[in-house]
Amino acid sequence: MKIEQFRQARADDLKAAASVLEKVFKTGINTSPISLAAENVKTSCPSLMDGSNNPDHWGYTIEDLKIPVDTTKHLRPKGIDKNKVELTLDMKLIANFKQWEDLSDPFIELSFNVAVRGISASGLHYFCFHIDKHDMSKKSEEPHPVYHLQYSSNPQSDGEFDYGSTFHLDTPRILHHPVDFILGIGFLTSNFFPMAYDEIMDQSFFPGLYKRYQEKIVKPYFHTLASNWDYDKSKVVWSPVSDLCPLLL
Amino acid sequence: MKTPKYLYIDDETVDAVEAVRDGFNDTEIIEVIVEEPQNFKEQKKDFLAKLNSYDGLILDFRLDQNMQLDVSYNAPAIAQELRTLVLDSENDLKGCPIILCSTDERMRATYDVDKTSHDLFDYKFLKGPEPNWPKFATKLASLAKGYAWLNEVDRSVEEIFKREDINKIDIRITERFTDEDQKQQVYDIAHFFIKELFHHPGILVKERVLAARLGIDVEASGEAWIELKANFLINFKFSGLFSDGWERWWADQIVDFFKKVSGKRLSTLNAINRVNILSEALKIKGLKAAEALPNCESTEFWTICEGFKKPLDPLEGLRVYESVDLKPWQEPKYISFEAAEVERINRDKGLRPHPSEKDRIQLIKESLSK
Repeated sequence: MKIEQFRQARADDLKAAASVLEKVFKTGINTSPISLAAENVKTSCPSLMDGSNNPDHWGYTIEDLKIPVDTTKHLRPKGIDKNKVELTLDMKLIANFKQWEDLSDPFIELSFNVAVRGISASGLHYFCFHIDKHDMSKKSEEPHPVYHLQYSSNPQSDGEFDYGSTFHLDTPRILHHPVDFILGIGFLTSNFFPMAYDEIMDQSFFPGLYKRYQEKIVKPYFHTLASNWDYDKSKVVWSPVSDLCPLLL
Repeated sequence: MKTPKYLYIDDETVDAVEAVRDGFNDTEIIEVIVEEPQNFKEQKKDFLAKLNSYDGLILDFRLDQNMQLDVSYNAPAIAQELRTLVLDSENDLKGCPIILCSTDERMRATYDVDKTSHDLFDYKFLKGPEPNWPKFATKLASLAKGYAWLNEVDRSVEEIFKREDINKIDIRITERFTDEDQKQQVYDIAHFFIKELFHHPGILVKERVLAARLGIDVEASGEAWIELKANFLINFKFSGLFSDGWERWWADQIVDFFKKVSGKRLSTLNAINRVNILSEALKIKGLKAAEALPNCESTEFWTICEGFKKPLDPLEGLRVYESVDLKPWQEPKYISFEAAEVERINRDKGLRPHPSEKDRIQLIKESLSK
């Protein structure tokens, strides 16, 4: 497959994802950031953080995509109005299309940033996390799983941020498989709008699309992890897999 | 173009019609020539004969009220006919803006209810007690000039939007202008700009929304706001089709501008932070941050309350009822609880929360009565 065809296919998948979200959330979502990303992936060759370019690279940026939230249980502090909660996704990924078909690390750069905002009578409250690919060229004191999920509550790393009575320090970087936007839809809705997740997965073509992306992104990750030990599929007895990870199709 | 010339068809008394004509003509922004309506066949013939020498047409909504005249149709019927006549190239009739006017009561009783005719008109104004003639005349002049400009030659999407980086705009907005197989009629382009782009926040926003996004209280900032607009924001003002009649700003360029001067993302800062950053980076004194409206807490503003026309965080707003469904690239309008349910601002003019907000309104009422 030529890179142009590949780019077109990724753009079509993003558009399909946008139309599923429009169908499920109706006017509750403005899908322009996805539409722009689809054009982006088709037409531009992204630059890496070090400024370099490669014609085999593809990628996109989605900025300020707001997704409704319907998780009304366990909201804390108690005064938060469950009707005034909103999730914003900002993400960027860059990958090499030649590494899409094998078991390579699917991405060169990935940041998947989520900020959930809520309002109570005493003001704004934040819940943020990111799933990132760690830049291995950077030194760090703690061991970093290359793809990790990390939680924070201060969206702008503001020095004056009011942490209330919570205690904050660098939370563990929890091992997490890489996610692109398609897999991100499943991750976000299953956690923050479970009814929408069910509805999205009921849309005829979406589960097929989702499964293909799991094969390209999740499979290389877990196959590589499993290869740390001698692996014989016939000896696997722990089942079903869907209990371990309900989002796996 | 010289002063745009509009033909105005109305069946009312000489006094009433002259008031409209003089109201417009005194502005010297447009010139209005009045005529009485004729029977449908004659009127059609008349339009074919002379409408090309005008830049636009104003129709009174009810044309069948004068018993002295043999007229049994109203504005939507003749407007529909006119749109069809323009499509037939044999008629050699240029597309021109069609404006609807009426008294409030008449418009409300029939036009507002019959949504099928809304697409026929480019603009409507009310012949109320004190019409804002300069405002209406500016819009009508802009429409006339825009139509004439579009009629001259085929215009590229970059010319229409007056933007080189057209790929930064959602393709679902621009693709209608680039599709060779389905060429847009001048009227379609005009209609799309006015109804879909100007009347809904999205890629373009009004000044009030622009100020809200920057966290600024327009009134309290006074000269400082004018200075900010004139020296910095002017670069992000929409200058494309009809921009001389509708002042709008590019939403994406404002976000990029803020990121460039501060390295921060506008939407995640509160109003005070946004204003402090702008004041410091641009060295402007006197900018004042907007405060939250009554019963609101957040100052992470992104829109305005359609009642108070003041900054509002959409999270704390109620969706406004709109008679047409939004496109996926349009943003909803909002109203604060205070404006919608306490002061009931413009409720008599149809400004009300969307029916889906009923439960939320009830919950807010209950929490306030505790």
